[in-house]
Order: sequence, then C-alpha cells, then structure tokens
Amino acid sequence: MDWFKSSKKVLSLIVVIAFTLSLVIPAFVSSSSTAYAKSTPTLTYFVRLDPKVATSYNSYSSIAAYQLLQKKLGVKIVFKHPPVGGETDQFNLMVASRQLTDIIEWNWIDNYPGGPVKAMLDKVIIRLNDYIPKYAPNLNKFLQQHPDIKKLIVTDDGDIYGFPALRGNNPKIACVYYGPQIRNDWLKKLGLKEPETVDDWYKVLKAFVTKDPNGNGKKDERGFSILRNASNPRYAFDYSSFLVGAWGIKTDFFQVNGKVKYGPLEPQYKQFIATLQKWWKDGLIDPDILTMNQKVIRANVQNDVIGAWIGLLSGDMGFFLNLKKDIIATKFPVLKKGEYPLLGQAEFLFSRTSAAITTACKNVPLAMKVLDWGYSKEGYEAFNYGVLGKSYVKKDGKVYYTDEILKNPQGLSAAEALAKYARASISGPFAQADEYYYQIQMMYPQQKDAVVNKWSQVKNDRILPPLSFTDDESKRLANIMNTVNTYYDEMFLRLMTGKATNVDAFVKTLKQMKIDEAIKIYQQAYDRWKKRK
Amino acid sequence: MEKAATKHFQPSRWQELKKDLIRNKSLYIMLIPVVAYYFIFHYIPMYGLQIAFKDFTPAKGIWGSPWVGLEKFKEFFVYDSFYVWRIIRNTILINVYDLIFGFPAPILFALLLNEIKNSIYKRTLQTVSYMPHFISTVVIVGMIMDFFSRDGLINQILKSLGILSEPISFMTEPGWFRPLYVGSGIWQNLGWGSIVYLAAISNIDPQLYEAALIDGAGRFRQALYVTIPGILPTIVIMFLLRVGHMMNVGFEKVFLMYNPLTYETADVISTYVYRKGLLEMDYSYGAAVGLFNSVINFLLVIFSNKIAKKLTETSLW
Repeated sequence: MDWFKSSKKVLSLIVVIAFTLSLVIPAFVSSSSTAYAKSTPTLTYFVRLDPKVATSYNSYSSIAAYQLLQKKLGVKIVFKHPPVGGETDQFNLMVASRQLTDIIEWNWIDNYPGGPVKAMLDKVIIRLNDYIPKYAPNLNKFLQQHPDIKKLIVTDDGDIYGFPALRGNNPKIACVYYGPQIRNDWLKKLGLKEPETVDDWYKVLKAFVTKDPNGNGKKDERGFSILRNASNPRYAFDYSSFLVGAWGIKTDFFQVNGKVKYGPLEPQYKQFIATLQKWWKDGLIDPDILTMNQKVIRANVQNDVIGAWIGLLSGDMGFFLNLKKDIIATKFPVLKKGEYPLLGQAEFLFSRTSAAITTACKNVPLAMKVLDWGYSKEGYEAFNYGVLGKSYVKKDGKVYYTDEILKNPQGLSAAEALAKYARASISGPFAQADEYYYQIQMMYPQQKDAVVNKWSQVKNDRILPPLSFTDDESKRLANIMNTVNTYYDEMFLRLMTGKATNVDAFVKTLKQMKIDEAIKIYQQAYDRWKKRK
Repeated sequence: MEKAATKHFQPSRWQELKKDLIRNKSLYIMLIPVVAYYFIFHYIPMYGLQIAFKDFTPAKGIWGSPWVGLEKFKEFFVYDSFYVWRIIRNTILINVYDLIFGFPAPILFALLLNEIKNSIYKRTLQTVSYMPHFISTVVIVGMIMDFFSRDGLINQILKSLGILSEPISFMTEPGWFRPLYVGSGIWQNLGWGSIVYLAAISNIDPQLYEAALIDGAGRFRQALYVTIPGILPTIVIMFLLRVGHMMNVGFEKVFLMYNPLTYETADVISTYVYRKGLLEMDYSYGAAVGLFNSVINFLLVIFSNKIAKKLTETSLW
C-alpha cells in the first residue's frame, strides 16, 4: 500500500516534469532532422515565391530546371519561401534571429538597410572573391568577358557578394518592361491621336472621361491609373519616370552631368506637381491609386473603365492582350512635340537581385557550385528554356518555345507556363536569354512595338547606377531617409490631390530633415562609382 | 537569550514557507509548469530589453553590441520630432475614443439583453452578436475596405437615399479613420465583451429586485439602482485592465487599415516602430520606443488602480 502510494507520487511527478520539459525543449531542438545529410548534401535556399510559379507550384523545387540541377550536381535544395507580401518581414526576422539559410536570393542594394557592404559587415553574407576563381569558373569567365557588368555587381572595394540576376545582353530589349499603355479603340472612337506631349495627354484623358468612349451611356470612365504593386503612386512615377521625366527630373535621386540631385528640390518639380494637381482636379486620375488597390484597378481596366495606365509589359499588357483588349503602348511624354524623351523606365542589365551565400553555410564550395551552374551552358539552357522537347525545341541551332508554353492548354499565360520548367520569366542567378524576350515578353506585335519603338526610345543617362555606401554613410542615410520617406509618402498624395499646395513649404521641411546631407552622401557614393574599374 | 526566545515562538517567514511547502506539496508541483512558462517566455526575453540602450547589430549579438545610453530615446524625441508627437497623440486619441465609445457599449448591450424576457430571442441575439468576434482582423479590415470604398455598399446606400451626391473616400480621408476604427471595433466586440457583464448581472441577488419592486421601482429604476451598482466592481476591474493597454493600439488593424494619406490620424506608435524597427532593421530604436511605451502603460495602471481604490474600493490589488 505504501509502495503504491509513493509510486503514484513519483508517477505524478514524472508527468509534471515531462509536461514542463515538453514546453521547454522544443525551443532548443530545431533543424536536427538532417540525418539523411550523409547520402545527399543539402542546401537551404531563401527566395521569394514568384506569383507566376505559385499558380502551379508552391516551391521552386518543383520547377523542372531545379530538378535537373539537383540530379546533375547530386545535391538537395530545400527552398524556404516567405509568404507572399511578407517577404521583407520574413527576411528581416531571419536575419535578426540568425536562422539563416545557406543561400539567400535578395535585392541587397535596396532591401537590406545599408546595402551589401553592411550585410557583409553584419556577417550575414560572405565575400566571394577568393572562392570565385576556384569554385565558380563559369561566373568568373562571364565577368572577365563583361567588365561593364562586373562594375555593376561589385562594391566600391571590388568585393563580390553574390551571384547576380542578369537581364540578357541587349539593354534596349531586356531592360524595358514598364511604361504607359492606352486604349487604342478609345482613341479611334474619339478620333484622337496617340498622345505625345504632356498637353496631348491632358486632352486625351479629358476626352476619355467626358465623351463616354466605352459607350455604356454612363460617365464612369477614368483616365489614368497605375498598375503595379507599390504602396504609393510616387514609387510608380519614380520607377517609370512617366510624366515627371518630361521635365528631365525624377521624383527621387538622379544625376545630371555627374551631379546628384533630388527631385522635389528641383524647380521643375513644381510644374510636375501642378500638372498632377490639374489632372486630379479635373477627374482624370483614377481615385483608386490613393489606396493602390491593385485588384480593383485591374478589374476596372478589364471592365473598360480605365483608359490609360502605366503597367508591366508581360504581366499587364500581355494579360490584357490575352483578353483581346485593343491596347497599345505610347512613348514617354515630352514637353514639346518632337523632343526625344530624357527619362523613361530603365534598368541596368544587373537587376539588383543577387543570390548570396550566408555565414551559416557549412559547405561553401558546394553552394558556389550550385549557383555557378546558372552561368554554365547547361544551366543557361535549363533556366531559360526548361526541358528540351517539352518546353522548347531546337531547329537549325535556334531555340523555339513549344506550344505547351506559348499556347498553354491549361490556359496559363506564356510566362506562367514557362515558370513550370524554367526561371527565365522570373529572373534569378543567371543571364536571361534573348529568346525569352522575343518569344514570350513580346509575343504580341503590340508588345514588340512597345519595347522597340516606344519605351526604349529614351535617353536615360540621368538614372543612378546601383551605388554602395560605407557603414557610417548608410547609417546616416537611413536616419535621414526614413524620416524623409515617411513625410514624402504622405505629402506626395496630399500634393497630388490638392490637399496641400505649398511645394515651397514641403521643400523647406525636407531641408529641415537634412535632405542636403543625404544628397551629399549620394554624391560621394556616385563619385566612387565613377572611379570603379 | 531574548532573541532566541522570539525566534522560537514566532517562526520566521522561511519556516512558515517550508511548512506550507510540505503541507501543499502537490499544489506547488502543479504550479511549476506555470511558473516555468512565465519565466522562460516572459522573463528570460526581458534581458533582450538592453538593446534599447545599445547600438545593436545582429553580427555582434546582444552582449557584444556597444552601449549608447539614451541615444536611441534621444533619436526618437529629438531627431524624429516631426512624428513623435503625432504618433503619441494618435495613439492616445484612438484609445480615448475607444474608451468613451467602445467601453460602455458592451455594458449597455448587457443591460438591454438583461431586459429581454423571451429566452429564445435573447439567446439568438446573443449568439449573433458574438459572431464578429471570431472573424480574423484581416477579414474584418477587408470587409471595411469593401463596404467603405468609393463604390462600396455604404456609398451606394447613401447615394440611393439621396444623402450624398459625390461618394466619400472613407479610406483615404484622415477624418474618417478614427470613427471607422472605433466603430468597427465596437461592432466586433460588442457581444463578446458583454458576456462578463451578463455573468455579473446573473450573480445579483434576486431578492434585491423584489425589494425594489415592492418599493415601487420600474424596470428603468431597477436597472439604475440594482443592476448597475451590482456590476460596478466588474466595470471597474474591466476599466483598469483596459487602461493598462491605453498606449497600445492593436497593431494589426491599424496597419491593415491605414495608408500614407491617413498617416495624419492613423499612424500610431506600434506602426511607426514596426516601420522603423523591423522594416529598416533599427532594432535598438524599436526596442527603445517599445520600452518607453511599456513604462507609460505600467504607470497608467498603477495610477488608475490607486484612483479606483480611493473612489470605489475596488481595485486590481
């Protein structure tokens, strides 16, 4: 009886202890389930899940090109995809908690505070220079052949921190993918010509909203809208230079003859804002861009409510052309007829995203080998074209995508269908092929016209290249720009909608926020960039 | 000699505790997991608070980062003075509105429910009123955005009734942010919040009502002189708990509802800290502002508890 009693006590004690431990232990035991690591080496890989892939798969490991890579190199890649929309949060949490994956594909220039130099200082990612000659022969060869691209991807000290996502070879084709689009049928119906100058744009948009071009008898037309997932329309104007570029300025930092400038501080900025205010006051601008509710804006384009917008070449233009909408691209507006636009949308051949190897990586040579594959001939073909005979065929040495891609039986767009086999439609650590641009991005003649005759017809020498800042610079810059950007986000909308009219007061506050110091820091970084070899 | 005697006759605290430990062994054992939980998940993380006084970089870790004293607080109050008062004002105003309009709502609702005698009707009403509580914030905000958008339900109703000629963009007007925030909060928590008051009402001695009835009190007077005093302690306690969150606004809902046009009235401490601390990776700054916020909350609870104790003899401790 006594024995029974005490054993019951012991038992209850054990239960309590077990319960307590079960609360505690999971915190300490994690990622120890790599018992199979002996057979195949494993790498973890953090990368955003592109929506074009997400329509078919929930992981990049299902993409045919990656299955080929894993088989060829005898490696297992475990992809960690952050939830869509929560990429930055997830990335920052990963960095803060030091639970790094082996490889991280990220825009280190814009989306890591302080940029790649800081990321290396923070011991998040490693410097690759010493490893490249030995473990990445393909990238090494590529960079030797393309010194102009090498200049874009290194830091001021010549450090290479990642495997760059490159946009093919021809900047006139590959770097142009975002710009103004307009309803051709509306233009024809109202007897209007394609707008060329800022004044033309006003007349066309005014006619759109007053003359019922969609013919439903209601005054429901909206003139101009913006199709891009951004929190604020000012980023779309900054990104595309639409309208603001007519005055030869950008809404953010840019340079003229080697001097860095900041849009709002330029005298022309007032004219740009005045034009926007006029457009807004006369009801030419879609009110939904205030909340940037993309779903609603897109639906309104689809329902023939919106007449013109800035949008993506394949994602938006291709999508609407698929729906048999009669749309064309226009040139970037200028002030006087016949002028050659100074600024438009432009990217550099390096898309600012790089796959970097982290300090947590236990097998750097293997990670190097995996990432270098994308720059080999075999990897280039797999990432760009997918699987021979399935997603592409070769005729007379030339590559053609199959109907599986171009006229997908499941009704996927070409870019979505290709995303099942290759990464060309997503971009990543490899160089995109011209075939992708010609056959998929420019599947429709209107798209080819947009790229070749319209959007690439700009000078674009005022755009700043990817700069790198020193640790002190980036700290100071972050301090200033966080304050400035919050204020600017708010003021841009208030100025556009006419709730605030005093641009001088806006500029004065920016100066109080020490914008001049930020410009100086940009100038120093730009001067260093010019000296890069 | 004297000392020893007192020691013998008045057992020290420690001895008392020891006796109690032996007597209530099983109770103390059952307490272990709870204490462990709080210790591990609430007290140990507190050591991370020190990054509020450090220039924290993940590479150096919490211990390795250099001390900067009150630099981060200075940054908040001096360098960011463009925003600091605005976000504090917004945080407080949203809470004050919520306290004025949101706090009495469930009490009123409970009083009204109490007057309904048809039990089937009453229960149905109660169940329906609980429902919004179980909808996630994301969905709630999605509904608000749909209903209150320019072509949304509300604008269409107001237009068809002839009240409005031009639609109102509720979501982009700074003036509409607080009413929408507080109003939707009331709608969501009315039924759920009333439960505790209904429970308190059911605890009131029925004899009091009989006595009031004999004295000639109608239903309104019964509510005024019996029900409300009966649930007053509950109201005070709920009020104190609420004040403890005075400086906290649910981050999620504000974050989902606001946009740059409504920053003026909508930007609150937690959203600002999120933008600065997490998105810009300035963790020390985030921690400093968070700590400042918690200290104010802590003081608020202590003060309001003191006041409540004086006025009503009901308090948290």
